[in-house]
Amino acid sequence: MLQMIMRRTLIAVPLLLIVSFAVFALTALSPTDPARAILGEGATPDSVRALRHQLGLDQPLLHRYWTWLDGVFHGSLGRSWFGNVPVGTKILQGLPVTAALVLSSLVLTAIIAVPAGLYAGMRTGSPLDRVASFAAGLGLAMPEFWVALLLILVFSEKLHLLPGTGATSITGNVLDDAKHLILPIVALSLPQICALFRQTRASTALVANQDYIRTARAGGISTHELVWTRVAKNALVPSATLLALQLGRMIGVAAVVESVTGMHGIGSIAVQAALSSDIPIILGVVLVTAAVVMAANLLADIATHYLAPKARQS
Amino acid sequence: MTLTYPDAAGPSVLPAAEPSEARRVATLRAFLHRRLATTALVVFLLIVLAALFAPLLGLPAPNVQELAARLQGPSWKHLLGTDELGRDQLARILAATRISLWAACQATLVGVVLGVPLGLAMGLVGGRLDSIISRAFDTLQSIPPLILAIAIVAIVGRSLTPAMIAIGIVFSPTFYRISRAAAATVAGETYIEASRSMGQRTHKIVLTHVLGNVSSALIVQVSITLAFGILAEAALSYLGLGVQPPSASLGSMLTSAANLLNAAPQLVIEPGVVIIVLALCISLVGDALRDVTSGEQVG
Repeated sequence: MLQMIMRRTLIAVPLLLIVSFAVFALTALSPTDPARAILGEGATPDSVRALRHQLGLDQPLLHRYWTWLDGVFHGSLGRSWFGNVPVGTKILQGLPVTAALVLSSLVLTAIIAVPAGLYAGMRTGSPLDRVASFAAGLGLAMPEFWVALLLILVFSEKLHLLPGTGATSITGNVLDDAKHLILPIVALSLPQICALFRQTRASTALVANQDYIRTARAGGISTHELVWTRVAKNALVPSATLLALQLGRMIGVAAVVESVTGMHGIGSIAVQAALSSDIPIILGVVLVTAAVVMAANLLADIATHYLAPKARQS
Repeated sequence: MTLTYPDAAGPSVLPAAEPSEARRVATLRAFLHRRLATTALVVFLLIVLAALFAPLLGLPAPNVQELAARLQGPSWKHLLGTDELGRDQLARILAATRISLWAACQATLVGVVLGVPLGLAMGLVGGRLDSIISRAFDTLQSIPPLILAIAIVAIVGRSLTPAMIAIGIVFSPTFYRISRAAAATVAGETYIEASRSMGQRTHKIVLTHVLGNVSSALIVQVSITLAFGILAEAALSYLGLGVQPPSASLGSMLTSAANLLNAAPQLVIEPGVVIIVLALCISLVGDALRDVTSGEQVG
C-alpha cells in the first residue's frame, strides 16, 4: 500500500514536468507578442524590446522553461503579465473559493448519487428506476452554467430567497458563505450526480445478477442487508474511480459556474487570464489543477485498493 | 460426447468476426424497436436538417436588426420573438445550432483521428512503444478538459476551432483506449493468424477484422463525445472564449441574454432548451446503440 503511494507520487513528478513543458512549448506558438499586448499599440519598438528582455521573452524556449521551473522549485510560479502580481498569490486567493465549491459539490454528488444508484440498481426495470434513469439522462444533457442562470432567475430574481452572486471569498462566516455557495453548488453538482447515479446503478445491477447474490437471496437475506454486506463493496469500485475523474471535470466546469455567478475562484481567474492571454497565470492554473487531479486519482486507487483486494496486484 | 471446434473448418469462419449483413439488419431492427431512441434520432435529424436548411425556410436573416421591434414575444412574424437588437430569435437559434453542431463534430473528429489509428496500431504492435504511448495518453487525462481548452485559447487567441481541437485532444485517450483494447484482444485470435498466413497485409487485417469488431464501441463513444462537445462549446462560447461576434453559437447567444435574465428570460431559456434537446437526443441514441450492440461484440 505504502509502496504504491510512494511509487505513484514519484511518477507524478515527471508527469507534471511533461504537462508543464507541453503547455510551455505551446506558448511559443502564440501569434501575439505579449510585450506588445501589455504596452498597447502605441508602444515604441524600443520599449517593446526592453519589456521583452525584462520578461525574459528574448531567451530561447528551454532557457525560459528552466527559469520558470527553477522558480517553481523555489515556491514561485512567476508574475502575471498584466498587473504584475505573483501568480502564486493570485491562485492562493482563488483556491479557498474553488475548493469550497468543488469539494461541497463532490460530497453532495456522492451522498445523493451513491444511495440512489444502489437503490435503482437493485430494482432495474421498475417504474421508479425507469423514471430516475431518464431524469439522469436529462440532467446530464444540461449545461451547468445554464442551470446556474435559471437558479439565479428563480431563487434570486423571482423569489428573493438567495443572493444572485456566488461567494467572492470565503469569509469564515459559515451561514453567509453557505448562502452564497448553494446555487453554484447545485448547478455544478446536478450533471455529476446524474453521471455517478448512472455508473452506480449500472455496476450495482451487474453485481446483483451474479450467482453469489442469487444464492444469498435464496438464503432469505433481506435486500437491505444484501446491499450493504455483499453488493455495495463490489459495485462501488467503478463509482470511486468515476468520482475521482469527476473532481477533475468539476474543477474545469467550476470555471464556468464561477464566471456566471461572479465568484472569484481559480476557474474565473483562468478565464480572465485567457481573455487577456496572461500566460503565466494559465501555466500556474494548469500545473495546480493537474497536480490536484493526479492526487485525486491516487486517492481513488487507494479506495479501489480497499474496496477490491483483487485489484491490488495490478 | 464429441466436441466440435468451430474454427476447425478453416477459412470459412473468417467473416464471423465482423457483423454480417444479416446481423446489421437485426441490430437496426432492434434499435428501431426502441421507441424512445427512435424518437430521439428523428428529433435530432429534424433539428440538424432545420439548422442546415435554415436559409430555405423563409425566416428573416439571423443578423438583420430591427431596432423598432426589440425584445418582442412570439408572433407570426417572429415565431420565437426577437432579441435585444430586434433580431429574429428562431433564425438566430438555427444559425447558432449549425455552428454548435459543427464545433462538436470538430472535437469528435480530432478525438477519433488522434485516438483510433494509434490505438489500433499499438494494440497490434504491443511492447515498449505501446506502453510509452499509452502512458502519454494517460497523462493527457490529468488535465481537466475545460482547463486545457481555456489554456489553448489563452495561447492561440480567442477562436472556436482551437478550443474545440483542445476538447478533441482531451477526448482522444478514450478513443485510443477502446481501439487499443479491441486490437490487442483480436491480435491473438486464430483468425488473424490465419489471415496473416494467407498473405493479408496488416493494414488490411486491421481494416476488415479489427475495425469491424470495435466499430460499435466507437459509435457509442462518438455519441458521448458529440454530446459533450455541444456542452463544451456552449460553455466556452458563453465565456467569450469560443465563437466571436457577429456569428453566434448557442453558447454565445446566452452571454448577451444573461444580462437580460429578468427582463427577457425566454432569451436564456430557448437556446438552453435546444442545447439540452440536442445533447439528450444524441446520448439516448448512443445508449440504445450500446444496448443493442453489446450482445453482438465478439472478443
